[in-house]
Amino acid sequence: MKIVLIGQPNCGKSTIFNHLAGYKAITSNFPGTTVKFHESRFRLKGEEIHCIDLPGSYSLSSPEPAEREARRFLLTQQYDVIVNILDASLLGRGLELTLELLELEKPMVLVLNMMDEAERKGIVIDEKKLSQILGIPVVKTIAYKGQGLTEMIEAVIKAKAENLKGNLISFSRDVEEIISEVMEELKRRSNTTHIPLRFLAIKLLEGDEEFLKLGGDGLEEFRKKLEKRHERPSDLVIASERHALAMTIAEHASKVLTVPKLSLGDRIDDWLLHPIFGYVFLILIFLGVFLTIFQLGKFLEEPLIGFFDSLEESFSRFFPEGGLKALFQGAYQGFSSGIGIVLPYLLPFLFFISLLEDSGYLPRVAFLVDSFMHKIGLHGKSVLPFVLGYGCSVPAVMATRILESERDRVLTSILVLFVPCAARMVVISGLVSYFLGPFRALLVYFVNLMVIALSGAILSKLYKEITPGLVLEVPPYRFPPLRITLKKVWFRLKEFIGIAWPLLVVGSSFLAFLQHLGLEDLLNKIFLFITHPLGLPKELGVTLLLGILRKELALLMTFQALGTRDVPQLMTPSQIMTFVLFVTFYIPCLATLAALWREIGWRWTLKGVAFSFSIAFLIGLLARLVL
Amino acid sequence: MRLDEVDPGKTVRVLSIEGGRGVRKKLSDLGILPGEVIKVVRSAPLFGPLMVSGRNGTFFIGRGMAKKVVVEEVI
Repeated sequence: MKIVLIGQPNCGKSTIFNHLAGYKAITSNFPGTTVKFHESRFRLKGEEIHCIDLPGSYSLSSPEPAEREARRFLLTQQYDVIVNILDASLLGRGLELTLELLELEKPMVLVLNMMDEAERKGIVIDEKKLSQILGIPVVKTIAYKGQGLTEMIEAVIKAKAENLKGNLISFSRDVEEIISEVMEELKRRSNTTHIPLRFLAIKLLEGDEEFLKLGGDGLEEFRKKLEKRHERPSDLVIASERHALAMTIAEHASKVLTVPKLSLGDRIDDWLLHPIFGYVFLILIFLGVFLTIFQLGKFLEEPLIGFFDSLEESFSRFFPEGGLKALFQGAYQGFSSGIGIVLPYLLPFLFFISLLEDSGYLPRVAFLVDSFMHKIGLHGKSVLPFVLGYGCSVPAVMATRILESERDRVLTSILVLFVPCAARMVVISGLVSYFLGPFRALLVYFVNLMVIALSGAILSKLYKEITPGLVLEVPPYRFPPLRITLKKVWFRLKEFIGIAWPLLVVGSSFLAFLQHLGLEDLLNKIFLFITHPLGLPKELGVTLLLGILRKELALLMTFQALGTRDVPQLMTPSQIMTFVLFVTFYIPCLATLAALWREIGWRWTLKGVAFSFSIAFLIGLLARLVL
Repeated sequence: MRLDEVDPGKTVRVLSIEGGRGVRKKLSDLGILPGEVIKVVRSAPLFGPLMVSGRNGTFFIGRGMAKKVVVEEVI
């Protein structure tokens, strides 16, 4: 049985998906976390279930690319049951999408999620009545607790078995008249699309370009008739109809018992969104997070590295001098650096970023910095990919799909490459914070922000176009249960353990072996065109090459290339800063390049690479001269 | 009056939405439709966005977008 999860942004779809499928999709408390499909197969109640989690969609006519994808999937793919999830605390709004989904005439189940939040708001929903009106099973859930999910699956099985496609709910009479006329007209033309006739007719009346392309010529008269009667654009007529209908159904099926006064969230907002203190808190929160990571990391790193170094000596004794020993030492260094140098910074970082994502604070950052973002030719919504970029550039590049205009997506994708991801954070912590102190590390972040702002200003001058402006939902503040945060940390950590760590071991032994054979000199000579003008030790050439594979390698290979972990012995503070700044900006890692290629095409990817390399080189030169 | 001219704390009724399809769609998805009553909760400094709440929830709306919404004050 194939089921599709769909709902409006931030309704908890992915949380339900994760509960069913095991933790496979990143969830967070801001709209638009799921920008691609997640799929999973599992057995439940004796059924083999193939479950697809679609990107959150406000409606089936949104211009955003992620939502377009969701609609295309619903119209073109084979599946058995639509599972429509909505945020019960926003019942009326959620039903607008439900009404549209009913027009697809597929077996369907409605899931009222976040029942606890609805209850807190004093909303009581009569799900039996709702089910009667809509003609489909309705179940209540609290996804993060796993409540109601068994009932949900039972309802899904029932919907399929009894082919419960629900009722088509009628708009006002005059609108219905025109819809039937269009349907008649379509029938006469004997259109052989697989798209349900009523759905198609409504979309054509709305003037939806994608459907007009399929054959909407000669239907203008109907649209004009509708517009004339209601004195507004046809898409607004339909939207208003659907809105009014959804609100009426919601009023029939629910009651608001208590009207909550000023909620805690509103009071928090008074501070966090304050015209002055809002910015003070913003700076304090980010400074606090990074300083904690740097200090905690250093505190953990020292004893761990000491322990591993002492072990290495006792192990190495078993190997005779020669290639095998070099290989072993290289592999051991890669392995131990993974635990000793990467994890102490990566773990707390992943923990904080997960907390921030789930708290609901990030969209509020978009509100605070929107006017600054306009100065660099973007708007506040681009902040979400940027903040994700501090975790990893790959999801950040993918998150640009929440932006409406192509220009914004391209610009944000390129700028997001400069945001130091967790791997680069490890390089910054391991070299700058560890050897030169946490404030120098913050300086790197500060320089980074300035460069991003400046590059944004330059790029937006080159690529002029008006951005459509910010429209973003404000999610409530939530304090995620520790269990969920830890799962999320583990989900992201697996990526490091499964891909980056093995690469560290292989890269490190590879380099050790090259050194043993005396070959790394050749590679270093090739990279002299970078290391020489930047005044860096020529041994670092090869680390730059490996750094493209994974950014962490730039740090660990530095130790390997210099032959010591005591970097200040061989590099001046100015050299360390120059090197780290260069590594922060230069060519993105392979995984990011692949994501970039997919999102913005190879032309822009190449331009992005050239741009980031030039910036890196420039910043490196400046750092050499100034610092 | 336009939505971007409304002082924080004031409640208004939407009269019409100007601008292209894309703008209309974005706003109507959030329940900002002619006839709806919405409240401007606060605004960010330096011509930053507005925080607006209505029956469909709470949203941030940039000044440029807000300019396209024609409203009247309700008492």
